[in-house]
Amino acid sequence: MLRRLFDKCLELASPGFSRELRRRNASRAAGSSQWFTVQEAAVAWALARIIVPNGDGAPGIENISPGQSAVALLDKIVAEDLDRQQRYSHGLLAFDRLALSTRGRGFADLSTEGQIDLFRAVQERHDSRAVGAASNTKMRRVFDAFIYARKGIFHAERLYPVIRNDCLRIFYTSSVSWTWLQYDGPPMDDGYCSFTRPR
Amino acid sequence: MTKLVQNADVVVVGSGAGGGVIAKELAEAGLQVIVLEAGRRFDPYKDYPTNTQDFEVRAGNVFAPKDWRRDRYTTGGPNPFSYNRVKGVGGSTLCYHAMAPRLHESDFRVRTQDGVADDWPITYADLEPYYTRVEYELGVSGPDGDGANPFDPPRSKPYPTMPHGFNLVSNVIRRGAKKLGLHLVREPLAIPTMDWNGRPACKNAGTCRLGCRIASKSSIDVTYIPKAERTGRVSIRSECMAREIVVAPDGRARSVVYFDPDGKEQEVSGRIIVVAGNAVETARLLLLSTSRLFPNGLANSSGLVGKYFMEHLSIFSHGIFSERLDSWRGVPTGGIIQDFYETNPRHSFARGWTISVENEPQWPLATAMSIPGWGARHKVRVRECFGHMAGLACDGEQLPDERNRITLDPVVKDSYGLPVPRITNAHVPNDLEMIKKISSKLREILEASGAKEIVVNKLVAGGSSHYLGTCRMGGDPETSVVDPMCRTHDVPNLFIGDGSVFVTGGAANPALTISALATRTAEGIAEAFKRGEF
Repeated sequence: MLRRLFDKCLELASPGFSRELRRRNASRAAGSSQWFTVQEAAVAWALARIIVPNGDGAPGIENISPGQSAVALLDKIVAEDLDRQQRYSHGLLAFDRLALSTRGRGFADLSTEGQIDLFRAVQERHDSRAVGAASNTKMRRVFDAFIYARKGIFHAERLYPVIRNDCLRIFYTSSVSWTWLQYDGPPMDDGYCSFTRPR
Repeated sequence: MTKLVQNADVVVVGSGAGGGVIAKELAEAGLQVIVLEAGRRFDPYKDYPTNTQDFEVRAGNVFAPKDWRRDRYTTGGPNPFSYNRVKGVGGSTLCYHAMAPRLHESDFRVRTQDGVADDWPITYADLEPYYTRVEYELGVSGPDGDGANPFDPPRSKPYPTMPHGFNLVSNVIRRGAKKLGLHLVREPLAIPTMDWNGRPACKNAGTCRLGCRIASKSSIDVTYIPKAERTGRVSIRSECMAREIVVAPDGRARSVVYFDPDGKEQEVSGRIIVVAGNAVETARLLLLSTSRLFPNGLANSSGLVGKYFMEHLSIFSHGIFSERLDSWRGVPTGGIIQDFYETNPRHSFARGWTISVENEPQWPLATAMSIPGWGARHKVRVRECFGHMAGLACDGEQLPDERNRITLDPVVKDSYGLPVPRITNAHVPNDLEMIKKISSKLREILEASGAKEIVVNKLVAGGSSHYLGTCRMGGDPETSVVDPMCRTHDVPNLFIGDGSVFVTGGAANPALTISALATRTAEGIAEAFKRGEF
C-alpha cells in the first residue's frame, strides 16, 4: 500500500510523465503478441545492445539464435510479470525523457556513445544510492525521488538492475553465448563422462 | 470447524534426513506411520528441468514456495542471516550437495578434550553402526585404501561405492594442498558411483543443488521414502503444515493439528509423536505448542527449546586460474581437507574446520551475474572468469552459545497466520578468531594452487545451510531438552528426530549424522513399542 501511495505521489510530481505513460499504456493493443509499444521496443532494443554488445569477434545479444530477437524475448519476460511491466513502462519512458532533456533527442536516436554515457550515469547513480540503508539515507531517497521524478531519472534508475539482469539472462542462456564460452551444457540428461574433453 | 481426527502409531512431522528415515525404519518394524510434510512432493524427471537451455533460470526456482510468505523468517540482532532450506518430501536433501562425512570421535567429547561447550551423552562408537547402516542405504561413495582420509574416524565397513574422480579444479587445488603439506581427499558423497538400489550411477552433471533429474543423488525422497511407502504402513501427507502439538491432561503428547493443502485445519493423533522439521522449525513448533502444562512451549521446562542454535561458519573463496578448469564437469564438491579439524594448541581458539572444493554455481549465467557491470568490459571479464574459476568453501565449528537462539517473532506472521521464526545468531570471540584463520588459510591454498587472482573471500552468515542445536541432547533435564535416545525429558512420547539434538556441531556436513541418529532413535522407539511402553 505504501508503494502505491508513493507511486501516486510520484505521478503527481511529474504530470507530463504520467500523461505520456497513460497514452502509451492505452496504446497497448489488447490481445497483441507484443507487450512493448513501438517506442518502448526501440529503447529496450538500444539498451539491450549496450548491455550485451557484440564486437572484437565476440557475439552480443543481437546475435542470439535466428527467429528469436532479444527484444521479443525481453517482451515475453515483461509480459509475464506485473511488477516488471511497471518497471519497464516507467523506466523506458524515463530513459527517453532523460535523453530528450539532456541531449535533445530520444534515447533510441542517440549515438551508441551517447546511449552508453547516459546509461552509465544512471548506473552510477543507482550504485551510489544502493550503498547503505540507514533510515536517513532512505529518507533522502524518498526526497530525491520527488526531485528527480520530473527529469525521469528515478524510474530509469529503478529499471537499471532489472533490465541488466534480464539481458544477461537472455544472452547467457542462449546457444550463441554457450558456443562463445565453450560451454557444453545443459548438464542433463547426458552429464559429463570426461572431466577434460567436451561432449 | 470439524477436524478430521485420524490415528496412527506414530506421527512424524517432517520428511527429510531425520523424519524420512524414522518413518521408514518404524514402518519396517511394523508400525503405522503418518508423516506430515509442509512442502510438496517433487517428481525428479518432471520437475527438475536441468536439461533445458534456460536451466539456470527455471531449475533455480523449482524449490521456491508458491507463496513466499510460507517461508518467512526474521533475524534478531544486527547481523544478517540467510536461512536456506527446502520444504518438500525429502526436506533439504532435495537440494543438498550430498556430502556425507561422519563426525569425528572428538566431536562427542569437546568439553573433556578442549574444555569448551559440552560433551554429548553418547560416543562415536555408539553411533558407528548406524552411520554404516545409513551409508549402505544411500550407497555412499568414498575413498578407502591409499586414497582414504587420514583423519577419518574408525569404520566397521568400507564405503559401499567407489569414490568419485577428481576433476580439473580438484587437481589444481590438490597441487596447492600438497605444496602446503595438506591432504585433499575425496569426500564421502551420498551419490553412488554405481547403480544402487534401483537407481542409476551418477553422471557427473553437477546439478545436485537444482535437484537430481535421474535420481542418482541419494536424497531422502528417492531412498527412504519409497521404501517406507512400499511397506503399506506409511502415509506421506505433503503440503500439510503442522501448527501445534496437543497435550493430553496426563502430560503426554496426544495429536498434531495441521493445515491441509486446502488450508483447512486437521488433527491426527499418535501414540508417539516425532518432530523432525529442522533445528529452526522444530523449535518453532514446540514454542507454538503452549498449554496449561507447558506455558512456555512444549518440552521446555528447561527453558532451552530454541537455545544453543548453531550453524557452520561458512567462508567462500574463489580464485581465477590461467588454465581452463571447466568446474561444471563433475559433482558440485570436489574433495575435502580436514587437516584443521581438531583443536590446534597454537591457535587462540578451540576446535576447527573442514575445507571443501566448491564447483558451483559456475555456469554461464551464474558467472555473468556474479560479475558487476555491463557492456564490453563485463563480457571480457565473463570470458576471463568462465571456466577458469576454482572455489573453496569451509564448515567451521561454531561453538554453542545460549544467546544464539530461535524464538517466535512477536509481529511477523507466515502465510498460515503463524508467528515466523526469529533467528538470532551472533559470532562469539572463538568464532571470530576462527573466521580470520580460515580466511587466511583459504587464500593460502588458492595461492599455492596457482590462482592468479582471488576474487571472493567472504563469510556468509547462514550460508552453510546446516542448522543445529535448539533441542540439545543430554542426561540432565535441567540442561538439555532430549535424552540420549532423543526422547524429550518432559513428554515421554515425544521425540526429536533432526539436527536440533546436536550438542555441538562438529565441522562436517550434518546430514549423515542426522540420519544415523534418526535410525538409532527409531530403533529405540520400536523396542519401546515391543516392551509395551506405548
